[in-house]
Amino acid sequence: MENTEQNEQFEPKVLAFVCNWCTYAGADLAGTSRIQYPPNVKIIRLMCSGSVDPIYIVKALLDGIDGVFIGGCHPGDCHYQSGNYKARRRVAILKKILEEVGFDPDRVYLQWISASEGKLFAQTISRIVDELKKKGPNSLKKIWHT
Amino acid sequence: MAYLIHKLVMKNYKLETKNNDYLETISDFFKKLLNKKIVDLLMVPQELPTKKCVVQTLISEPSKITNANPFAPVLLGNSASLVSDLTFRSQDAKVGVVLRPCEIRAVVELVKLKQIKNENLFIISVDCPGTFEVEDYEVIAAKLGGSEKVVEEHLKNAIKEFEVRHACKACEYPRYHIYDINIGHLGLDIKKEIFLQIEDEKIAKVLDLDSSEAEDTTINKIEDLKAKRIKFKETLFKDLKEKTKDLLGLLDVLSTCKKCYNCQRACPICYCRECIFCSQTFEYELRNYIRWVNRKGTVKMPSDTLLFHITRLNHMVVSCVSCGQCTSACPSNLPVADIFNMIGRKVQEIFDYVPGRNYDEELPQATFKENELEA
Repeated sequence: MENTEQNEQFEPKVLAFVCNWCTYAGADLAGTSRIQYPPNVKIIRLMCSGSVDPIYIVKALLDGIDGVFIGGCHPGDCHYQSGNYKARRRVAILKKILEEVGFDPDRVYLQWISASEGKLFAQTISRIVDELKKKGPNSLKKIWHT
Repeated sequence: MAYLIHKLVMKNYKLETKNNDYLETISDFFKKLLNKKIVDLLMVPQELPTKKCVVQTLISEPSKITNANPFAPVLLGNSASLVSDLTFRSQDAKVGVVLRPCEIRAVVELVKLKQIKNENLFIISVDCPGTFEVEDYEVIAAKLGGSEKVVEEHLKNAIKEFEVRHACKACEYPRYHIYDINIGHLGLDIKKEIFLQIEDEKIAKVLDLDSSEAEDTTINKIEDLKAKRIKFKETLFKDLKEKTKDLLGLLDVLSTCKKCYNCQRACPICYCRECIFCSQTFEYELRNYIRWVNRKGTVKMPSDTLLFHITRLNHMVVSCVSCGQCTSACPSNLPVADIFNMIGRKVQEIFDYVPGRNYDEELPQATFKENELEA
């Protein structure tokens, strides 16, 4: 009973690395269209999803963030031609490594969101926050010997 | 399987061992490589005057090949890093290098990473029955009186007080398929004969070698050894997975990591001139530490130990050749090699990639397909 209560009060913290040209613009559109989405996400704007170094994601997770979301342009539409293809491979490698190391790889989300998809951005954030609420807090919050 | 077929097409050349002195026979062969100008410079393992170890040496004068022993079961490190040093900046001379399979695999990866230029590189590979840790080899050599005896005993499996390194016991490549000349000796009595496999027939002619019509008896020995090692590898990974089935298990295994960066330095694939962990990125201000202490309550010092290992995994595990030099270099004797070996294979499977398999395969992190993976 106590646990469910704690879980119900648990608000996951999500870090979002989004690309400037597509996903960030999409997030902006969600804002201007006044589409409501959970406030749990901290958005970090990068020029391209391909510039997301996996070390940012891992550092955040080891420090206790509940989830990380990477947003970029749809494959084929990258502003810099191939950045998102590289991001896709990097995230695949990172998730496999996290899985093998014993960390839940599903706390890392990759979604392609274009500048016109404000609704999709809001839906994605809602979905992520819902899933993380079910998963519970990142256990690394309490583990200091990393 | 591919290399086996390759081998059947390859011609065998026999070196008859004179006076049972296999060291003199192989030294003569190396001297011929220099005399006949097949190479201008040769990197060959030679025994130290104190007999403590056998180390790579650079030779241009054949007369300086005095203590060569490419069979000695010891490595100071993965020689691919040395090959990078020799070829990266200029390629003015033809350099011959004597390497073991794990070192050749690392060379292939470094060529793809543009850290080795191989136009003027001549690879002489040696069959490898496994190597001992440097400190163990020192004890064995002292007891047996030098590398010649160590090799004889090792090839008979008669050295019982020490085992070869874990990475060697799990290595599927006692013989490699990428070379200009291979010294194929496993399964032979080297006091009688040594087989050479040579890519280029012209070179065999220059070296006055006759092709041997004799059946290659070494293939069976190689296959047997390979099967044994694959079995060991499966047991090793099963045991390791038991210990590291969750993150806390892994943290326990790595808990005494000193963050000395020896593993990163010893690794032939880790070639960054400045590791990000040694750069300004990780020179934190005190206020950063204060923020983290406030957040977590306790911060282990030195910080970012697990981050270091996971980042190294992210950077190089697709090309990990499982040479085990990381564990050999670790002062806390952590099973870094086993962990990276195990995780490496899983990551490589995503792209159906085998490090060192051939020069043409592109590095997974340097290429992409338009339609692949999810999302």
